[in-house]
Amino acid sequence: MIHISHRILVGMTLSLISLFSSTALVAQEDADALRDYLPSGCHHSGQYLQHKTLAGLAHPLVTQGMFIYACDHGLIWHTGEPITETAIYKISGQHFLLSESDQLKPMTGRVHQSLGTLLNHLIGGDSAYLERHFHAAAETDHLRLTPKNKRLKKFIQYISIHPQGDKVAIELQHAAGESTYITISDRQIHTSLTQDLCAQLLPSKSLACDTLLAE
Amino acid sequence: MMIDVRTYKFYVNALLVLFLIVAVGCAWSVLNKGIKINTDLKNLSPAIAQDPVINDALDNMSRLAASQFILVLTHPDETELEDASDALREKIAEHEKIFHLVDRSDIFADYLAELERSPFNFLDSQAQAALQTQSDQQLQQTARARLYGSSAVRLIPPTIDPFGYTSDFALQAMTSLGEGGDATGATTIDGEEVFFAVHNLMLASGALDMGSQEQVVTAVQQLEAEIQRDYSEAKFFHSGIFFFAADAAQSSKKDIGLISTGSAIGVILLMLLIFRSVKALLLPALSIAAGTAFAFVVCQVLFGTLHIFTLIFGASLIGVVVDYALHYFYFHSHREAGADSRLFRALLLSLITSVIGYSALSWSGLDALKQVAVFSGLGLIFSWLVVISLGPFLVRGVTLHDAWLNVGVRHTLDFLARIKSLIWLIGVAVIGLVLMTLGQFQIPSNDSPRALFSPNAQLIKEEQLVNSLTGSNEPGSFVIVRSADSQEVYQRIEQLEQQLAATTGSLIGVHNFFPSPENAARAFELNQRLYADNGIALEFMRNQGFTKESIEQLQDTYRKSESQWLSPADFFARHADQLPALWLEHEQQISTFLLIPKATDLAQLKEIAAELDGVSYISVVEETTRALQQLRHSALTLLLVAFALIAALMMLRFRSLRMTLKVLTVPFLTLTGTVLLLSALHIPMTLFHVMALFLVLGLGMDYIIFVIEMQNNPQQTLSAIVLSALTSLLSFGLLAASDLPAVSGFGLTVLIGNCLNLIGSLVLASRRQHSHA
Repeated sequence: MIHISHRILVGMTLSLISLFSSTALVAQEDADALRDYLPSGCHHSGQYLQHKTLAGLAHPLVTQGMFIYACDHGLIWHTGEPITETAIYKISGQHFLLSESDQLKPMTGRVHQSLGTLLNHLIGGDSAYLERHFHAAAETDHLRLTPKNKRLKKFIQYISIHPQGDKVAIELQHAAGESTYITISDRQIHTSLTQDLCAQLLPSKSLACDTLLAE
Repeated sequence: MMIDVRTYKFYVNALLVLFLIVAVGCAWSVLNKGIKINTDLKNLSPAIAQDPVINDALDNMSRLAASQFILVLTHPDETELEDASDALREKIAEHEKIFHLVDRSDIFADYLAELERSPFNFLDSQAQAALQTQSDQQLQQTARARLYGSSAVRLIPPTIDPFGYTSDFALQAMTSLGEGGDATGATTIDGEEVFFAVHNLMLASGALDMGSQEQVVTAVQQLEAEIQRDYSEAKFFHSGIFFFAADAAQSSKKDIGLISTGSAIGVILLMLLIFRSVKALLLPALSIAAGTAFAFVVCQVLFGTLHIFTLIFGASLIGVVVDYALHYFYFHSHREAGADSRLFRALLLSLITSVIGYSALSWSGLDALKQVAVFSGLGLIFSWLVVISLGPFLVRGVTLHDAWLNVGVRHTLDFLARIKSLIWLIGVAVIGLVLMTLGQFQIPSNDSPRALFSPNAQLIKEEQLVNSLTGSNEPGSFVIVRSADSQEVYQRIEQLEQQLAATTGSLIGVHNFFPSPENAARAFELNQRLYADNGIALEFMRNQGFTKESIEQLQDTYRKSESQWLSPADFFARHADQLPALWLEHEQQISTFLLIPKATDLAQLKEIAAELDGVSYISVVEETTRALQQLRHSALTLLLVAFALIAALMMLRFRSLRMTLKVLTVPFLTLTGTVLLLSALHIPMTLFHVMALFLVLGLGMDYIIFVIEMQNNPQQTLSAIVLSALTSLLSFGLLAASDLPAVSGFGLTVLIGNCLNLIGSLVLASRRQHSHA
């Protein structure tokens, strides 16, 4: 099962790291500075573009979409192209998947439970959490995070965070020639996340907002 | 019948030499291999099924359960908990030689490798339905969403399983098996809200060996102390048979110390009081030490390990073994013509009856008691040989100072002799009636295995807590499905699940991991739509940019594959040390265990299982209770057989029915009185109480034989019997004080029974004195 969660973690870690990465990371020289670059605010949103390289595929799989994060509720991770899929990871531990046809299904099981916990910690800017699970090393143009946990290392070799002007790219390298490259852009910080703001940010999936913000 | 004393002694000496050679050989082996003390509580449980395959499987599952334990770490702060949990993991890694964290990733990897070898045979019901009902476009859309989406879990590479159906099958299999670690969450314990982290550990070797057990306990205590030093609010909760075994071992060690020290001190004081000479201690001390040492080394070689239970009973042997030396001293102090032959005959008969009493324990059906029987029998025989062989050398110069005892015995005999037979009869009848009234004319019994242990209350509380946080299946209850045909096994599982469907979740079994032969064939056939020439999966791969090589390879693999059923036998055999027995093949018979999810209506499950062919519901506690009840009933029958054997022996000796009946009246009344007294005290009879009755019979006959054989010295004989009974009562009285209900029940029964034996012997002697007068 650890196998499973780590595979997912790979995909999700890049997105979460992307959220709190910024151009200022260039200036990082050591791992201790990591916490300085984590989001200080409680509510964020932004766009992402993801390239996933898989063995046996001639070209990477490209997806794009947006995310909304509220520290007191959780995260919406919305894929808009080429498929439509919205995952809602609530801070309470309840997670849901909203299909293209607006069918809401709970995501049960320990895998999603662990994933949701991880995401909410990371996107919430918990630098202590990152420091606990990764060794951070600042290199010339990027920050490299290497898992501390031996079992995690089986699945994630490293995560690199590359600042690119007002964007940030996250590269996740894992075993068997697979890798994921996510570029985060248009990151916005909000004072709060209301129903209206959420619906405004994600007009096509108001049910996702309702689900995230529901008590 | 006169015994040739010289021949008798020759045989005894020869036997002693032979036994000494055996002892030296065994001691050498024990010295080389080391002493092994077993603390496995399962040795106190009988086999619960008739079928040896099922029993083996249950034994395997028990062994698996016994070698695993759980440490739950709690902390009020989630972050602190994570740090403490990480630190704990690191510290556990430092003790990898004795225990390690359970890591099932290798099993999962092996399972996935099995699936990757024949991926076309695995389709769950949803996938089958999709392939049967959905259009090509719908299937491809779903596959595309899966390929691009981030929420799907992919366990098999898309080049082998582009639609993810095999992956889904594997995921549900792994989920049903549990993760074997890493569970975390929040809960409330004693009104305090805390976060918890579960750590599943496995012992590196059989830590039910006492030496390893102590090492593990020390290591666990040490790492817990280290964590609590760094995280002061961290708390630990424990779960696992290991902790109960370790706790029972501690109690047992305390018992052994109490019984052996108490018995030894009591015996020494009595001997000094009677003989007023340190030399008098030599023969009993030598016979006790030699007897127990001989039994110890021989049993170590015979059984490979000694159960701690055996040592507890072994400690109580002191009170029995010392009798031979006592009688020897007594009859040499009152030497007369022909005394040797009568003494030897009496000692031999005494040994035989005691050995019969102890060997009856080997019929109990419990491994631990079988070992007690062998240990006690060997100890008694060797002690007896030592007394007969060395007695003549050690008895010189030892004189008795028992005038006070003789006076007491004489007065008692005189008093008892004055009571008329009719009064005795009425007295016995009245006492019997009173006891029966107090016992409400019932003999209560309790055959639950729980009546044999008194587990530590704190450990039970922790076990329940940890179980509520981690457990997903019923502990100690299973369903066994059997058939000679693989497909029929699956059909029976399906029937059972269908009937249970309304009330319970899915049972966990082989069907979660490997499809039935028919299902595998159906899956292969349905997969034609995906992987045959122009299959939609191949088309999908081309559209999504899979390389030509990977597409051709998958197509080729399917073409070359056959719908061949993958038997689960090899996979489960490979992982028998870590997984339950979900598939066993033996002599063309297949047995499979199903695990029962919690909250299942067990009564209904039991009812349904009873109606289905080849399906049995097994509750370990219920089955053990039933087995213990059967053993208790058999033991009572055997007690009658033993009584009959002793009657035959007495008939051979006395060649008089009247005399034999007279002799047997005492053990009969003793046994009946013991049972009635226990019921009057509202102490339910367990197998251990019944087994103790055998010893009561053996000891009782021991006294009676001396009363009859040594009738020329009635007072001295009775003085020796009184002393002998006192030492036995001391040993078994201490046994009755044990923390283990099984041991204390045994001790109490012998204590009561032997008191009655002593009274019966005195009464018998008084009757004989009366008739001689």
